[in-house]
This record gives sequence, structure tokens and C-alpha cells, in this order.
Amino acid sequence: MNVNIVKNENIADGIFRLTVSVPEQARGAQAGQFINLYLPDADLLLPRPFGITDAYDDVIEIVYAVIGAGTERLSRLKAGEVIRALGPNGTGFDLAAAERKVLLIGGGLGIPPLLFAARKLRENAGPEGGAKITALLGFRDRPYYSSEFRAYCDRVFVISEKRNASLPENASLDSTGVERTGTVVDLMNALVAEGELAVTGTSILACGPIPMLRAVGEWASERGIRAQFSLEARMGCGYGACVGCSIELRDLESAGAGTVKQKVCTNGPVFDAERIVWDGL
Amino acid sequence: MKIQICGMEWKNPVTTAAGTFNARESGRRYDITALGAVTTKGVAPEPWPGNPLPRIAETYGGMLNSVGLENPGVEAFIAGELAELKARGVTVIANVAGHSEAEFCAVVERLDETAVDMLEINVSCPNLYEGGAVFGADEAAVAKLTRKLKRLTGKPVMIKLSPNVTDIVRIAEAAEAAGADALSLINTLVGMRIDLRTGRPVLANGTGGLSGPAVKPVAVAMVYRVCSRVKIPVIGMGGIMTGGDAYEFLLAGATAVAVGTAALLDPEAPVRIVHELAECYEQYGDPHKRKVV
Repeated sequence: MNVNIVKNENIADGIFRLTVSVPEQARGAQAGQFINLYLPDADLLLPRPFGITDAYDDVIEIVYAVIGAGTERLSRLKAGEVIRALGPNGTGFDLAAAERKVLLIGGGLGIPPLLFAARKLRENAGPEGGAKITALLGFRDRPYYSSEFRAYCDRVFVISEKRNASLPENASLDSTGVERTGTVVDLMNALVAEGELAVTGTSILACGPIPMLRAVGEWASERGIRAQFSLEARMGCGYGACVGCSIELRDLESAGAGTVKQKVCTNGPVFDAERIVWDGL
Repeated sequence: MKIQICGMEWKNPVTTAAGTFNARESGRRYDITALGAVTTKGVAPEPWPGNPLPRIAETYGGMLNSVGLENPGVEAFIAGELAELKARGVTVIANVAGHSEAEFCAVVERLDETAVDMLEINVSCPNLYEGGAVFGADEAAVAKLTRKLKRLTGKPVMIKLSPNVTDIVRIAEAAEAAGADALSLINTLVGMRIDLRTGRPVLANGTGGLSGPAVKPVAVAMVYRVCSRVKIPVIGMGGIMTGGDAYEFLLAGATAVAVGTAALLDPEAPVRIVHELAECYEQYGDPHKRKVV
């Protein structure tokens, strides 16, 4: 399908938010799904899969960093231009299965797609709803998308790997008012130690780099918390034809240590953390 | 655009290339019965896990893959994808994978008992052995395998040839002499990309197979040379993105064509190419009645 670019905004250093008009698809989009974008250059043939950051009215939003030739080209597209797209693709978060208390845990570019989950969880819970939504967001450098989470989350905690990178925004945003340096797992441990984070009856939705997710998965498993992770993978087609993004998952139905191969693009990108075989990812 | 091939009639000369088609996912996106046939992903006697990730890299005008023939095994294929395709009345070419003569024979023997219409023997996947070595680089091995398979099945046997050889014509002639009913070419070209920062290959497997429009002139040249030397039908493939590209292969002597990478970039590409090819037939005439002059 062809999609109209509505906006392509530079929202932080090297970070852009793209809004495309896709009336039919926007309505069916689920948090955790992704959309393939195709660039109008013959040398940039492969689809670029991006996690959907939000979908409302007639539009889908994605947030991306300029990291290669494809995203550089994408950043130069202007409102009114038309590109090809395919999606929403894949299986999103099972929000109905999330507990009343939800921890949204994001790292880097895995953070923006969780906003869509935050909004849906808040809407599903209703205005009075007892849902407690806490966002834990880990940045490498200066935070750029954390203020958006405040609209839907009860508490938002931010951490950056770079000292002082997060001021001044962080200081005003972090629900504890503390400026923190480290990874999102450091943040989780610190909050538990401080008594800020009670984990009983909580479930986790997370998106971020593999080492982060692996650590979050172990953290969740030690505490008996269900976690759903939206994974990223290099894809050749993004719709289940090429088998370029197939990963190993524990087969929970089979007795013993059986595993199955599943495609990140169609069976995922959201998988239960306990099923993921991390070695090899 | 009807063609006769190995005793079958196809409504048009377009099929899919192995490893780029999925009955459920492709079937959701276009009318797969509008193709002459579909070719399914390589299937081995037992499930294969394939190669580690990343398996995909972009290149100028194409892509590298090192999927390594991940597949669920022949029994799962028969119960799943094959059943689904035959229920829809689709002509099916099953791509057959194996590490050895015995494995190729096991799959062919099993598929002989099914409704598969044709067997494509993948002796040319560059992602199974280090450096992209292929079974199909040795003409004696190809001839011996072809003879064995022909004794195991009455279904048409098509040998898929590798471009990673000194002279593809010698392999083609060996397969024909051994009784192959058809040939398909080309499989992917061995390629590599290296990450500038880490100094490591981009693909976990080191090398992969290059496909996409970048390989098309290589494929056209090989199809042309092979078609001028063998009498059995050839299915031409390699970087077909448009109906015009498909027509070029038919003009080079191919009886039919397969669309591969284009379908990864646009799921509906095979059926779009059928429509565009029909326009080429109107504009330039039946390519099977023409030849390169």
C-alpha cells in the first residue's frame, strides 16, 4: 500500500517521529506490532520494520534514529511525499493478559513503541480503572520521549547511561526526583531496594536491546513475574516468507527441553520472555 | 501465455522462487492460483534449524541471505503447506534439500507418494557448507544423483543449478544426459559483506547468497547459454522485478520464470509480474516464438 507522509519531525538529536496516514490500518493496529516501510531508492531495497509508537484516528506513528543509509533517507522525506508500506505486521502485546499492575520497561529505541501499550492499557482500564502503570525507561544519553509517558502512566522513572545527560528533563520527570546513571536493570534494582517498586501481582511489557531484555527476563523469572517482550530482528521480508528472522523458542507444551523455531515477523515480534532461548540472539 | 512444461499445462509461465513463498502469508495477500505454479521452500527429510542470525543483509541492488534452508521437514510440509496448496488447486513444485544423496533420495521417495506436481532438486544452496561450496558444482555427482532420483519417482525432476561454478553449461548437460526433465537457474551467487566498525562479516554465517536485481544480467547470460545447449525446459530466475525482466528470460530461451526476491520486497510481486508480462506479450509477441538474434 502507498502511504502519505503527514509529518516527519526531528524530536531529539538524531531521533525522528514519522506520522503516516493509513486510515484502515491505523484502526486495527495493536501495541507491539510493527510496520514495514520501503524507501523510494533502488539501492535501499529491503523493507525497514519499525515498531508502531502510536496509532490513532487515521495515522500510524513511528519513532526512529538515524543510524544507517535507510533511516538517513527516511529522515529526508517530507510531508506530502508518498512511500510504500506494509502492515501492521505481527502479533502484538497481549494486553488483556497483563495484570492490573503493569511495568513498562523500555531501553533506547524500544521505548517509544511502549507508549502505544501505555495508552491502550490506560484506555482499557477506563478513567476510574485501578490499573497501575509504571514506566521504567533507560536511555544511553539524554532522554527524549519520557514526557509522553506521563499522560498514561502513574509513575515514570528515567535513567541514562551517561552521567548528567538527563538533566534537566530527568530531574523533573523521575517520580522519585532522583537523577540516575546506569541501565534500566540498575534502575529496577535501585527502585526495589528503595521500596519504590513492589513486584507482586505485576506483569512486564518490555522492548529494547537484546542484552537488556535478557537481563529483564532473568529479573522477572527470579521473581515469578510474567513478561512479554517485543523483539527486533533483521528481516528480509517482514511478512513470513523468507525465514530470515527465525528464532528458537522453548516449546512449553512439550515435556522436557524441546524448542521450536518461530519467526519474529509473524509469530512475534512479541513473545513470552520465558520461552525465549537467548543464546544465539 | 499458456505453456506446456514436463507434461503439465500452466496458465502462464510464472512461478515463485524457492524460499520466497509461504502458502499462508503469500496466499493472504494475492490470488496464488493466478500463477502458473508455486515453488515451495526447500524441504529436507527431517527439520533443519538453519543458520544463526543475522541471516539477511542488504546490498546494492539486492540482498544476501544465509537462511541455510531452515525447514520443518518433509512430513510437516506434506501435512501443512502442501495440503493447503493442493486444496486450493495450485500446481506445486516442491524444492528438495539434502546434505547427501541419501537425504535427497529420502525426500523424493516420500514426495513421490503425494500430490506434488514437480520436484526441484536444490543441489545449489550456497549456505550449507563453508565458503558456499555446493553439491551441484560436481557434474559427476549431479549426474549420479539425477539418475538415482529418476529411478525413485515418476514425477518430473528439475535440477536447480548453481552459478558458483566455472562452467554452468557442463553441469546442465550432465543433468540432461542423466535424465533430468528440466533445469532451473540460477540459485544465488556467493557473496559477503563486512562491518566496517567490527571487522566482522555482517552475516553470522560469514557468506550468503546474493539475489535481487543485481544478479539479473548474470542470470540472463547463464540461462541463454544453457538454453542454447540443452533441449529440456529451463525455468529462469535471478532478479526478476518486472514483467519486462521476466520476458527477457523467456527471450533468452527459458520456458518459464520464477520470481524470488521481488516477492520479499512486495508480497504481491509475482501476480503483478504476471499482469505486466501479459502486456509484454501484447507488445512484443510470444517470446517462445522468438529468439535472441
